[in-house]
Amino acid sequence: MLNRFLTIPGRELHKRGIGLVVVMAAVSILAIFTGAILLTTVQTMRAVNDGEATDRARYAAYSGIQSALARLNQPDEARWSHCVQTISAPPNPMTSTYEDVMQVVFASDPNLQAIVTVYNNSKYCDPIFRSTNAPDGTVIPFGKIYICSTGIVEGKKRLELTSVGSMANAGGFEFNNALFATGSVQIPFGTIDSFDSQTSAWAPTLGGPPGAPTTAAGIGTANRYDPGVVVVGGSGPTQVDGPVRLPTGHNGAALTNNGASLLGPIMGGYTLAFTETFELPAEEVDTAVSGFTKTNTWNLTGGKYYQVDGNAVFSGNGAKVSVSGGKPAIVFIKGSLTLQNCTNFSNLNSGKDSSKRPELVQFYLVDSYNGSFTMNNSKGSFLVAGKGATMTIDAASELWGAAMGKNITLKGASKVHWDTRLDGILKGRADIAVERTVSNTDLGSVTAQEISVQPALPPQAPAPAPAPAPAPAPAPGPGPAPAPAPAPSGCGCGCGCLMMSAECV
Amino acid sequence: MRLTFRGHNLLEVVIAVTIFSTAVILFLGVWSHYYSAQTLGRNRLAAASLARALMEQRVATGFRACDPAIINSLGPGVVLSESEVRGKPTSCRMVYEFYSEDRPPQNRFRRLRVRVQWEDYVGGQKVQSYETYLYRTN
Repeated sequence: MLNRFLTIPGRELHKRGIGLVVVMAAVSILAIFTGAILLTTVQTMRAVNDGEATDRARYAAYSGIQSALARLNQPDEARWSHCVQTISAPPNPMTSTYEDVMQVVFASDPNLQAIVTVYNNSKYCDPIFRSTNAPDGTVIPFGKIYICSTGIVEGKKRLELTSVGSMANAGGFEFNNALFATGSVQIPFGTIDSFDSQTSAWAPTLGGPPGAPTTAAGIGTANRYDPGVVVVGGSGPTQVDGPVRLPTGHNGAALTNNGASLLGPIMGGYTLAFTETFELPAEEVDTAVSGFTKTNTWNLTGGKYYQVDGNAVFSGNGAKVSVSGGKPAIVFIKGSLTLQNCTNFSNLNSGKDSSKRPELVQFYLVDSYNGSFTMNNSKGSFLVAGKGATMTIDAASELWGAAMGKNITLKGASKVHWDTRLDGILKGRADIAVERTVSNTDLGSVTAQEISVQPALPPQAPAPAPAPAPAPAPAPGPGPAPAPAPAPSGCGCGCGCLMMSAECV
Repeated sequence: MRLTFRGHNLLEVVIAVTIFSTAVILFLGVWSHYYSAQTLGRNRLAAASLARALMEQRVATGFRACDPAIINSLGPGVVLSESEVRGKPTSCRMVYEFYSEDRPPQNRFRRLRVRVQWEDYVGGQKVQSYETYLYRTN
């Protein structure tokens, strides 16, 4: 039939080979059709793969958030911000040299990692390093911490990135008074003044600037119901260099002055109270010890949480604490704390400098144990707090730091030197937790080409025993976490991205 | 002259048929792969969605609710994924398991892992797995 149409009389030779042409045409059409199918198939599979990689990247990013929380909850780490705080102020724009970025690697998958940046607007952070906005436009309310994490899956040909942002709250409390009590503050014979622990020699000052009372030591109470909740003087020369803070609604009888010298103002409207719980979750305990009576040095490692299951008693000139590492050691005591004749408790006899600043030793009396704090004829540099604690500082004792409790008595010519560096900075256990998490943020913040590698996640333990079949046993658990992967060096073209050079567009 | 071209049509047909057959056989492989890939892709998507849903569910409950002693004793679950391809109903049986594991030394982290396994006529057992970590304050 086809030949009949194609044949021209007298020119039959032209139709020879036409069948081959027709077949080739048909094959070509089929080839095009098949190519389209092939393309669709490849694209479908790629989309599926990309979706899976995106999920993995997102969970890696989420793990990065959790890893950041772990770091933020370590002593002194709640001050972490996006800038390494070794300079006077963060540079603008931020450069990779100063960006404090954490890299999280996964032992189970070397192609997986998370890059985490923290924007801190809490009181844990020095004011100059606080951020009110993240680079992705997120407004960070005061008191909050914004954690950005980018999960990265490194494939054979491309990188898959997904970012997650989490807003975290930062609880805590300030030692912004030399003495603060929820019940009463009694100072029949003693001195309250202040000093700066960052100066080369600690020199207590008197007559703090009345116009700036927060820079001078103060005493205060949250008890607005009982008369005479603050009593100063009566047994000997007494001086308070700083404000006397009384709560909202107090009456005139709240303060009893028996001839003491009050160098600061008497302030009302004070609302501070213990909002935090002085408890240490079992998972946070780095070292637990039984109750003890120490006559020698107790060596502590900075950046660790300690728990004393009982009373902690330090007795004699040889009893002292020594903290290594330059970070605070935080001690929770399930009982009472007593210092008896410890005239060199924090190595103060060898000099007073920033290596012995009060925040390096922090004692917290656990709420449910109703412990007390007693300091007799002792000198030390530390912070102490207990929600229900009765505190007595007596017999010419000298506390460089601050104390918070229920009922506090300072007598016997004792002194409390408040560290002005405590003002406005939260202390204690941060207990930072995520309030809300947002996926797929536009994380313009990760610009680091040099990444500070942190041993973020703990080593991997063997995988758990598989649940009963039908599924086969899970893949064997990975061994100990390998050394963190080398930091991505970036594309090198100067654009600031984390892509490999071949991937950079 | 005509004798010279005797048998030409037959030869032409043989060659054409050979080419056509070879091409069709090759294309059949692609078409077959296409169908397999569509099936595999569909099941992988379903498995990924299931794994993601399970993970999100557990993450939302928080650290304390993911106690390994409870989670790991639950055992596997089964989901039947049913779909229709060109009017023909197909189904895929998916078995999922969720693991929780404390990370020593202080167990501040919990490693959460979900595995979804299925088998389809494309052949072989497929696994989809996600993992993430939870810190104790969440």
